[in-house]
Amino acid sequence: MEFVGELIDYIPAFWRGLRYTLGLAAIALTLGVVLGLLIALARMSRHRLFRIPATVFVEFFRTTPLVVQIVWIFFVLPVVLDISLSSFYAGAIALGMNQAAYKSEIFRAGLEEVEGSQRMAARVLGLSRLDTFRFVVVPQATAVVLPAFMAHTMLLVKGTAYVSILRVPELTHTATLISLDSFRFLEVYVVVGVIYFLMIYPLGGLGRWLEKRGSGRWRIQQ
Amino acid sequence: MTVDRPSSSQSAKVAVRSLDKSYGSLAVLRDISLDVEPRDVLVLIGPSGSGKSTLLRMIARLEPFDRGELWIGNQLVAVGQHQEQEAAGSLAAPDVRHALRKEVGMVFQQFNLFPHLTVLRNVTLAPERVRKLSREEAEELAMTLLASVGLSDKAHEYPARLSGGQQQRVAIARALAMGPEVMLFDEVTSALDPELVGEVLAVMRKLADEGMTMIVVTHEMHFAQDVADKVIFMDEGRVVEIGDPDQLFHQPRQPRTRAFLRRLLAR
Repeated sequence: MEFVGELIDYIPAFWRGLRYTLGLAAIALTLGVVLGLLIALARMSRHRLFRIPATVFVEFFRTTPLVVQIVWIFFVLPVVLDISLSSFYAGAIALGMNQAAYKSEIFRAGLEEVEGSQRMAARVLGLSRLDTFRFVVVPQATAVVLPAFMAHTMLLVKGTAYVSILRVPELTHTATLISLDSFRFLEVYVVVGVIYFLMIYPLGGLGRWLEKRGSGRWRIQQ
Repeated sequence: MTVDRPSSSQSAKVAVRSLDKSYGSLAVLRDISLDVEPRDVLVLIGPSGSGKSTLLRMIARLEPFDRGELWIGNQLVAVGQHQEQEAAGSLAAPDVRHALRKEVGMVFQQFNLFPHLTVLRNVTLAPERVRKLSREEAEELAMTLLASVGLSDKAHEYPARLSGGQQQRVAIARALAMGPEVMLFDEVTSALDPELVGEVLAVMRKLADEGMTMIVVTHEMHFAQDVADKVIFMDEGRVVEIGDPDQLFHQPRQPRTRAFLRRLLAR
């Protein structure tokens, strides 16, 4: 039990790791949702000019390992775009792009699920395309995609651990540093595991709650 | 700009001229012309696949057609895709064409209510977004319309909790909320249990009595006989016969109309 005493000394380090992890997840999720939605629309477009690049993007990020993508973004993006990129942002962008690739497929499935007859009804009422999308299609699609969306967001939070490869001091890299410092590998990784669990497990519950609160009201078996 | 309409009637609310539509090599509408006078009820009958619903979708401008003209009032609002170049000069301006969308309301066989919105919101959405009414104005209008279709007490329910007949009446109220001058009904009772058909037809009868211009695709022959001012029998994408209901139902001129009515009565 002596480790508990030692552990207290490491609380600030864990806290910093946690903030980095949450920061990575928040940026990647935002990027994933915005970019993912754009890619979904591009893939559903009639114009090949939109469809083809979007498809290439999705396939690239779905067919290569996340770790490779993180390293690739960190080394390649600064060269290609002639910018300097901290390891934190490189990791966040890589995670975000990976998220976007998968989330776009989730969004596309949801958008396609909304029947054409709904769009037709909106059209005869004179609703603009944008209003139809906003008031008719998206709310229904959201209900469809919510379970897959939440499951995939849980993967994202775990995926932030891969950014440790760039020595970003998020939770996993922090754990490595602390265990090297304390030689308490097992205990440190147990603590870190518990922290991840406490972050991710509630997301599942949140998903179920949103589902019930959102579509539960109107989705009654007819 | 107004162009003289090549029409037998200059007063028609809706006029279709020589309309053709094919899906690939399958011709679904061939040389269709018809006029609907203001306050008239036109009923389209015919076997399934005869093109009645397709014609309604063209009049609602949900789908383009290949050749022909569609007039709403004295405005040419659509021409066949193959003629857009040459007809560009006589078409109404885009904003006029768009504005005239509001004048044509449509109700579908499968209701197509927005399932995620309450009955009230289904009715208020378009008036708020398109007619730019305030929330209060739109709700007041919606409550009046829901009362007129007998559903005031369902305003805050979701569509899934309503019977088919109730959903269809909401769909009618939703279409009316845009203040259309013409209402299109596409087999609106076909998806209903028999005991629910009457309540929807009653609402339609009332609308007709109030002077709404209507084009109705239906298999309800009693309704057609009672309410229609004019009946069109269509088959294989063509207008086979036009007449007033008494004549068409009791003394059809065309053998195909006779055969259709006989089959229908035999059921």
